[in-house]
Amino acid sequence: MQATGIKGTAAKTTAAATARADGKSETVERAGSLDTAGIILEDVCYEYPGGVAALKGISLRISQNETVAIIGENGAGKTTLAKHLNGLLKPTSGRVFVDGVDTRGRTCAAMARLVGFVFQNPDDQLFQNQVFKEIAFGPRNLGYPADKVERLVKWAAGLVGIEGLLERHPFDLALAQRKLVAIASVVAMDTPYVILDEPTTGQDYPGTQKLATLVAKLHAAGKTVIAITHDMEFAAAHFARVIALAGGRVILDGTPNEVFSRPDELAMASVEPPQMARLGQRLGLEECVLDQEALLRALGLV
Amino acid sequence: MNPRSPYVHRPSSIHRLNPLTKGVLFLCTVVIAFATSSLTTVLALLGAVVAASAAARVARELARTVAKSAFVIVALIFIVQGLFYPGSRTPLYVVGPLTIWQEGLRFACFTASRLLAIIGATVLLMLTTRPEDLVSELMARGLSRKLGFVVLMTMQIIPNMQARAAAILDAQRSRGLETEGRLIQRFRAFLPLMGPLVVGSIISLETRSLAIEARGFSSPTKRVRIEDIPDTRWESLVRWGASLATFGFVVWRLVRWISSLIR
Repeated sequence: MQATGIKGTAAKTTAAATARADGKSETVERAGSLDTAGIILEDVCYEYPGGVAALKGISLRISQNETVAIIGENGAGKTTLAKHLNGLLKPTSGRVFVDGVDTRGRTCAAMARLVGFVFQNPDDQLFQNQVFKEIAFGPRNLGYPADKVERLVKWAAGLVGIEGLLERHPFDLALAQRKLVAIASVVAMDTPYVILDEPTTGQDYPGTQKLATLVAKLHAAGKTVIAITHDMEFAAAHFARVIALAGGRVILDGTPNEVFSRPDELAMASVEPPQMARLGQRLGLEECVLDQEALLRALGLV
Repeated sequence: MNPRSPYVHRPSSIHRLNPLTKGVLFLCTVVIAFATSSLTTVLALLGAVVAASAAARVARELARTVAKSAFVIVALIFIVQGLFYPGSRTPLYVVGPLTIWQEGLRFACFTASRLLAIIGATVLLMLTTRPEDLVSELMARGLSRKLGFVVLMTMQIIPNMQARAAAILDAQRSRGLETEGRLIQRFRAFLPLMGPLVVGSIISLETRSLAIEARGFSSPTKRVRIEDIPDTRWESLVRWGASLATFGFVVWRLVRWISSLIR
């Protein structure tokens, strides 16, 4: 892999092996030992059957309990990369390990125990006639007993803030709410890894705030959260690590501050840093500022 | 344009033909292939399809598509007819308990050639004609707009639904639904697939019809066409000639059939 970017500071994260969310979340079962824990990609290449090379040699390590935002323009390979993490796609060459498990040897359904994946379009996913049943579908597939399923459904609905919608029909809800139902239906599977594909699309401010809270709570529960997003403010504010993809390669990998202080590489990925970072750069600030507070501090105004 | 249509753009005189001409020739081929009982005629049709595909520079695509869609059924025709054709009298080979009959093989040759000629003509039409062009040409000649829309939608809906079904299947597998493996498992995977597929198709159809209505679909004014599709006098002659010849052929076949019944 061509490492023009900054070396990730991922290794500092220690595994919160059996963390619980306020005692409500189920124990997260960790299969891997310390050196195999986490998601490891070894020189992963992927070519679609039509011959389009979507990933061109990606090597990454995502440790347990990290929060990672994946950014990059459309067609950069973000969703293709994410689909490798739960075995929906198997690499053309290279290998993907999740907690030491090689995805090539497992079906996607078997990987679903480890990695939850929320799709961009909720309408590809929702099919039950009631939100409760919808959210319960995943945990039932994993073979959990009824009382555990019910506990997980309520826990997940609480995390995304849709407790009031459990009796409703998913298709009576607005798109943004259906999206939250789709997210809850994957969170309820209580997997140690949760992947969100463009969760903030179509969400209003309160919806985005709900998602931010969700990321924080999942992190507190010891889970690894990986989000694909075009929302740079969301990526900068709520994720500890940002990975920028361009043309099927990783071009930047580091903390939001590190990544968003590299406008040249970001331009390669056709990504604009958050508004405050751009303002700070225009003002000639040395350091990268990502929010209003940081900007005011850097200007010596607070 | 529909990126999923099998249309292949090549600079050829066949591609430049008016879509109606190709449509008429296609229909004539199908009608004759059904009406005839002579192997020579069917082989001539098959030869014409192959020659036209070579002229259109899509022979390779044609061969690939036809092989993919017809291989199994052609193989079955040969096996079943070769072994079990009723009234067979002349054994050709005997392999253990099985006898391959000459009459059966002859009938299999005929049926398979007829099938290949029809599939080949269909594929050739699809490879060399944009469905939009064909429907637009038909509408210019009086096909109702609504019917034209239905025809176009029907052609698009299957590839659309396939793509959606793949996305839905991925989403449900990601939620732990086992879709690989035993038949019962695959059957259980069916329902979570059908729900979003049907609901999604209805929603997208409704959105689409609203969107085209917003652009004046049912406005009663006279239409003009963005692109005039060229048509020539001799093409019109070919169409009439082919139609009349086909009609004549069918009448001739009917007369022969009826006279054979009377006798």
